[in-house]
Amino acid sequence: MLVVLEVARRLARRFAPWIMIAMIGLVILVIAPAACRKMSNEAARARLGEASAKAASRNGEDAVATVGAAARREQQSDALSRTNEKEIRNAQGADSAVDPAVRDAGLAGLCRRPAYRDDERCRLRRAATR
Amino acid sequence: MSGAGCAALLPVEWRGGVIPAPLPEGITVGDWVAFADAQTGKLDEANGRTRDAIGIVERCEARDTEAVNKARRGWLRRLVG
Repeated sequence: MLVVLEVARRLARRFAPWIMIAMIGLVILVIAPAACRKMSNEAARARLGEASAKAASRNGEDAVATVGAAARREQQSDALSRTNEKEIRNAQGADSAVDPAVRDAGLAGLCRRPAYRDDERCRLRRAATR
Repeated sequence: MSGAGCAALLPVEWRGGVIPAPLPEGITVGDWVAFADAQTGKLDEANGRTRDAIGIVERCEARDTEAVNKARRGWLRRLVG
């Protein structure tokens, strides 16, 4: 019995450094992946924040430029409408009278459209027909 | 990040739509022809806004997706790409 204990003590003394190294290695193996994952996630979150901020800035610039171009286009469209109206009214026959029945039917039709539902003239027409 | 904020880039006034051409007096032929022309102009404006709105949102979503994909790339792909 004493011999067995002595052998065990000698073995333990001889392999103590290796046992220590193995234990430290085991601890590193358990902790390191979780720590690496955490660091990697934090780095990815930082990268995402930076990339998102850049994208948001470019999105804003794009929207401002596009809306600005649309506003210029709409101004040109309204200007063309005014020019066209002059030409139409100067054309021969533009002053020809429209039959009042057709006029009323036309206006009544327009007043049934959602675009003119709240138009003052449509409200008056509705009130008059009640 | 799914491009959920992209619709916020659109101007508030676009939500109400394009204001139609004023109702014509309709007494003369000229009134109705001019009205038809003006309303066509408004149609062009509305179609333009639709195209622009879709474009703004589509490009915004593509940029947001690209930003997420870039952030997810591994260190080797970030180094190379």
